[in-house]
Amino acid sequence: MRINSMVRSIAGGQRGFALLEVLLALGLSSVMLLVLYNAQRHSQAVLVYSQQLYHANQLLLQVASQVWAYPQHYFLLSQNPQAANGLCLAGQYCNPTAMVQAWALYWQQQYDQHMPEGELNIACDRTCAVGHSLSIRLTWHQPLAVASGECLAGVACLSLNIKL
Amino acid sequence: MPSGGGMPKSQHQTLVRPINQARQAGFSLVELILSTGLAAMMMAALMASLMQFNRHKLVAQVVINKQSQGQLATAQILRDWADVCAPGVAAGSAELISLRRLYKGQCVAYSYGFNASSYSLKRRRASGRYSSFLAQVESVALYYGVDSDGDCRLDQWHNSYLQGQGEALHQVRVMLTMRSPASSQLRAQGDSWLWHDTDDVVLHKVETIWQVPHDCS
Repeated sequence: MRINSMVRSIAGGQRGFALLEVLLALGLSSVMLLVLYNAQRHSQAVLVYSQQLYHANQLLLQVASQVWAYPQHYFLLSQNPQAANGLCLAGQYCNPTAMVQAWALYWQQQYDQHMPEGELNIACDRTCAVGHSLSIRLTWHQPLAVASGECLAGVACLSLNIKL
Repeated sequence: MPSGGGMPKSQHQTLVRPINQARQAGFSLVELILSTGLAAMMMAALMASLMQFNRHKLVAQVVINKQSQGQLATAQILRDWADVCAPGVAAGSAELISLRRLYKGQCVAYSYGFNASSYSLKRRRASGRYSSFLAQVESVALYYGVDSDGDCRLDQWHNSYLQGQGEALHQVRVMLTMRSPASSQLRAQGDSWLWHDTDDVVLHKVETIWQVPHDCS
């Protein structure tokens, strides 16, 4: 009885896979690989985002230190520093305006390097007087960023509030 | 029933015949070539994906290491110097700074300097021995922001400082180049990182500004 059934199964045909089956299997594998590839790409993008946040954090702390150093001139930090003199940070005597512009240029070079479309904003809460808060905000283009507060989706924001 | 307990002859024949006569209906040559080609493509994609995964893992390790190194270095320096006490920074050069800070309730002289042979920032209390303060440092550059005209505004950055020269120290800018060990595989693949000339380490800059307590603050 057992031998008979074995014979039938052997004789039943060594048909292998049909081409359709092979194609189906390869198609499914392709989908799986595509999912894997996308997951990796996303993970890489997250890594880049985390690097940008790290640099932004470092920059904000430096900006804050110069806001304290130049309480009458810090608004220049967020303006376009075209006329800045880089030598101010390399030993040359500079007045506060020139020094703040030199810092602004230096930081602009920094976030141009790490953060696409980076922009620094400094704004006071109502008025820039003692007791009010000052917000230093760095924004840059980042597709992974989600909308939150005043920031739109696709724009990463990092801000630091300090009390004047 | 045959003698000897073996298989009946008729049953034996039915077992052998179908095997010999069975039609082996596997792939045709075209199908075989096609499926082999597709499988090869899939394998290549799989291998590329695995290699990419491996590279991503190595890159992630370096990135995380760089970030943690940078944060640790900044926190360690600023935390240590937060306890500075009068008269504050006594002297400084590009790679060395001497200051006084609190130690067990007393204002004690401390020196911090770069040790190129051990790739570290070292620290010494009073006239004691130097010990490692911050590891994996490739280079150090200190800049001193001073008020040179007494208007309580920082107006010059020097790479050295000496107390009592008519300048008030407002800030110290610490620029460190840190060493982050990385796989030689990454180096071979090439990327935008700055690598050490000989060692398998990625160099990255960490910058922080220390606000020195001064008369105008």
